[in-house]
Parts: sequence; C-alpha cells; structure tokens
Amino acid sequence: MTLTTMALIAFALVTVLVISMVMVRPSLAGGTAGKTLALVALAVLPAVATTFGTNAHLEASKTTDFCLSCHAMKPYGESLELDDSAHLPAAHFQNSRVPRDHACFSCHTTYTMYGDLDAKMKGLKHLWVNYFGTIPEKIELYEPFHNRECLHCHDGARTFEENEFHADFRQELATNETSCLECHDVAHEVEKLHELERWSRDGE
Amino acid sequence: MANEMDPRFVSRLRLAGVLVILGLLVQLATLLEAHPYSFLSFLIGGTGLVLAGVVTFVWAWARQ
Repeated sequence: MTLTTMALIAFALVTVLVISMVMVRPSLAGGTAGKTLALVALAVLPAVATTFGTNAHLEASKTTDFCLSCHAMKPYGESLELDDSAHLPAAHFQNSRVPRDHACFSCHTTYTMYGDLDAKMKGLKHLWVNYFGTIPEKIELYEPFHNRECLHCHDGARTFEENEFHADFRQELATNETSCLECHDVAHEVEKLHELERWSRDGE
Repeated sequence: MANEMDPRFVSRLRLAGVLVILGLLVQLATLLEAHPYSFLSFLIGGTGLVLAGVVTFVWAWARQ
C-alpha cells in the first residue's frame, strides 16, 4: 500500500468521523455555520475523497498486475517471459527497458496530451467487454502501433541514434511513414507461446 | 436542540450521512487491492452511494 493510499484512507476516515458527528448531533447543522459544516461534511469532503480515490484507482490500473488480472490478457503476460531477444515485449520487459510494474501501459498508452485519458477510457471499455460483453477471439490494436510510442523513450538514446540503419530512415521514422515494426516485427505472438522457451529471472 | 429542527430534515440528513458513509467504506475497501473488480466496485458501488448521499443532502437542504 502506497503512502498516498494510506493518506487517502486517513482522509476518508476523518470524513466518516465528521459525518458521524453531524448525524449524532443534527443540531450542529443548524444556523449558517452549521449548514456550512454539514455541506462540507456531506458534500465537499466526500467529493474530495472520491476524486482522490478515482485517481488512486486510475494509477493502480496502470500496473502490469492489473492488466494481467483479466483472463484474456494472460497469454500476453506470458509472452513477456519468452527467451527470445528478437521478441520485442520480452526484450523490453526482461531488460527493464520499460518499468516492469508498468510494462503494458508504458507501450500501450499514447504519448499525446490526452493519451492517458484516452487509454483510460478504452480501459473502461475493456472492463465492460471483459465482464459483460464478448471477448474477441483475436485481440487487436485499435490502430497500427505508432512510432511516437517507441520514440518517446528511444529518441535520443545512444543505441538508437548510433544505429546506421536508423540513420537512413530517421525522417521516415519520426513522421511514422516507416513503422518501427517493419524491422522489429516480433511482438506478442501468443499463438506460438507453447513452441517457445521461457526465461526466468530466477533461472528456474 | 435537535428537536428544534425540522424532523424531516433531520431524518434526511441522517439518511444522507448513512449513504455517504457506506459509500466511503465501500471506496476504502476497494483501495486495498488493485484489481478490475475493485475498480468497478469503487465506481459503481462506492461512488454511486456517495453520489446518492450528496444528492439526498442537497435535496433535504433545498426543501428545508
């Protein structure tokens, strides 16, 4: 549990305490000051607690464990353990090129002004489909993977900049005319999971 | 003191309090684990109850 979550829990408990006081002694809500107290206790504080709570949940929804808690995502999680350096997600995950606890979100958010919001709205839709809808046989991206998401980290990185092949396509890569995936084309190949070796940090 | 207030307002105030407290407790419980179920419970159960409580309070206040 993070410090923010603990602070939020403390805030909510204080709110419950203040509301309880107003409920036990309704006379506290009499007069102008009392009405203000009741307004703060029964509307302002709960609204603040709910806002912070929503934020805490949205932050938690960026974690790898959260994404992989849906059954449909399990094979994609397993693909992070493949012993194949050409397999992009596995290579990123195993070499800590993405934060391991935010692995899915790091590549599958959109690095634009409203990218996080957009990702969250799509995430809500995914939750709905997961619990109340029909999960598609094959899970696909909404649109082709944009180089912007790769270049968010790789642009300016020495290994990227000094690579002679990248130099030849610098402009095309920046404008997304040539996709990074045209060369780095092994992503989550979940249908081949059973054929490939796994790698474990513990050497198991 | 309490009996000087409109008893209907007092009962609505208490109802609003119960709804908001229940909502906050549901929200607190969902914070203990990061899981899609927790998120949905927070959104539908917790926030729904808090919203119902706030609306009840505002309604009681407006009708007083």
